[in-house]
Amino acid sequence: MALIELENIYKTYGEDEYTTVALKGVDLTVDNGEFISIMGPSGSGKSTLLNIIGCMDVPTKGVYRLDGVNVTTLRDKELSRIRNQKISFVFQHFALMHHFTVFENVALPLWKRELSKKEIKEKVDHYLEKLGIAHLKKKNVSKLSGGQKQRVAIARAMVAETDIVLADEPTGALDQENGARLMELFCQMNEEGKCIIVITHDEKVASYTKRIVRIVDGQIHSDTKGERQ
Amino acid sequence: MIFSSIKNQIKAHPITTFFIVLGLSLSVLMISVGISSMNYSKLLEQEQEHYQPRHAVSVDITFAEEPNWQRVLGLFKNIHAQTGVILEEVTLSHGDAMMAVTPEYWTKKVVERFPLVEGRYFTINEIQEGKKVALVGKDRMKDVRVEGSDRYLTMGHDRYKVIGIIGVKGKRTRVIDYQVVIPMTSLPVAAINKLTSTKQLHFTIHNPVKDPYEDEKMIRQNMERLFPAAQMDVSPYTSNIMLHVDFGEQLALMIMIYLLAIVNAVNLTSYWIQERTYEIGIKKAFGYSNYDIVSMLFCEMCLISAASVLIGFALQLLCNRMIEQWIDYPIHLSITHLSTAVVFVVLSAALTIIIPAMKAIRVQPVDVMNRR
Repeated sequence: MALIELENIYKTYGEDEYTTVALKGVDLTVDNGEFISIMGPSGSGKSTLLNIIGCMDVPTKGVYRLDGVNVTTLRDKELSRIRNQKISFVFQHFALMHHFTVFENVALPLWKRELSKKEIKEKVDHYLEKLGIAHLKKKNVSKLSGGQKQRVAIARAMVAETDIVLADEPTGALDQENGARLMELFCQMNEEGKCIIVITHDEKVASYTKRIVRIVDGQIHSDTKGERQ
Repeated sequence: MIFSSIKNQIKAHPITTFFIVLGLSLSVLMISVGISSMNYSKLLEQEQEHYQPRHAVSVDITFAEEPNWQRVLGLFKNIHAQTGVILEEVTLSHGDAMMAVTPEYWTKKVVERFPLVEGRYFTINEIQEGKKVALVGKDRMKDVRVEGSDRYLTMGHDRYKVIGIIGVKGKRTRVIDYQVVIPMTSLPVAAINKLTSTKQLHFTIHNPVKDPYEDEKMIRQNMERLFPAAQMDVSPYTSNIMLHVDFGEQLALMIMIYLLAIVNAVNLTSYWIQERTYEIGIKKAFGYSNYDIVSMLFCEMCLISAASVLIGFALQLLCNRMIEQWIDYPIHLSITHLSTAVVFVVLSAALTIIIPAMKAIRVQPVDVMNRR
């Protein structure tokens, strides 16, 4: 059974003459442990696709099955639970809570789970250590550099220990060196069995992935599988 | 989580938080003042009920010409032994100020109307002979001058010997504590002249055991004999002690102040939520449902309201003296205050959070995720 199954997905915004069709009948299947990049020009619908896969948005038409469950019919509570337990996100501008510390940001997905404070602390400490930012634990995220912020965002995605990691232009706000480090981290996570989907318009970033899906005007233009370059 | 969240919010938005807390604290203070005022009014009403003359009627006599004072006293000839007379609306000068006094009169037997803290009540001789003696309430002791072993109160250029202090031991009794009671026969000449010059006399007759209908008849007969042209009106007794607080007004004021505080809090909280859409969006992306977000905001508002209640109570303790002068009664934190505070916390949090919560529910993670 595929991890992600999208069948004839449509997404439209606005009404009547102001309607914009972001996705036009997208079919996509993603298996466990895949490392995919979704590429396309601006406005092609790649971010919309990622939002639908991440259960942050619902399709106007079509069926989305995640782990065999049709999530298009689920309510806010169930979608929230799926987002918490199955999917993690990494965003271009990090999406960190500015007035919170590194620890509080990383621990965010865990507060929703039935874990003791001790367990949360242990998990967070483990991933902060792994990413080499344990010394920043008590620092406010607003005082960190771009690279450090992205590491915090990665730690938050890792600590959730979800099957899927969705990244929207994750290297967009980073310099080349930090961008490369980040992609190496994704490769490492993928080797550990995570399914990673990266939205990018950068061929270099896409070259780290094993499958490249190209979207043009809301439709899948090509879907190429191969080995990492 | 909730504590660290609120700590971070306070750090991030100190001015907004300050004004929310200030508004709610002042509201708590006003509610407490209101409760104390109402408690005070209730107490005053109870005291008044307890210490007002029993079986009493008010009598107004209008004379055709200025009456002779000795003949006025003749009005009460042959009334019942236990029936007393209280002259109403009498004030005497005390230094630069005027002091309300209660002149009392009995024909045969003195009936003690007020409890005594110390000393004794009038004797019938003192009443009959017009001795300059006085019973003073506890609050009036500051006006009394000690001379040797005796205490005196000077009123209307006459010195009255204080023979007793009226009131209840260990308890404030507002109805009694500010009173000065003297024999009606001991009124200073100037006061008598002033009284008779009005050609009117207002007094109350009362009896501890029965309605004074017969005394009323007897006074009317005496009046017809002594002052044939005078007219007498009798009406049911009403206390001349004014209640300081109107319950309805006080309640309306409290509700108004509370609603203003809520409107202020709603405005500020809405702004606060606006500032937090990014954080809310992130939380939603990582698995917080609308219910979780609303619960979080409600808990935060409960904490803020609870802090406001504590600050409001602290303000009361600090400003108690000022408030006492204002509402004439000190604020005592009571069960009523505490239970009102609990209701206040929950209600404020609930009312304050409705509109901001609706805004928070509308926040979509996709709308904020790629914001810088």
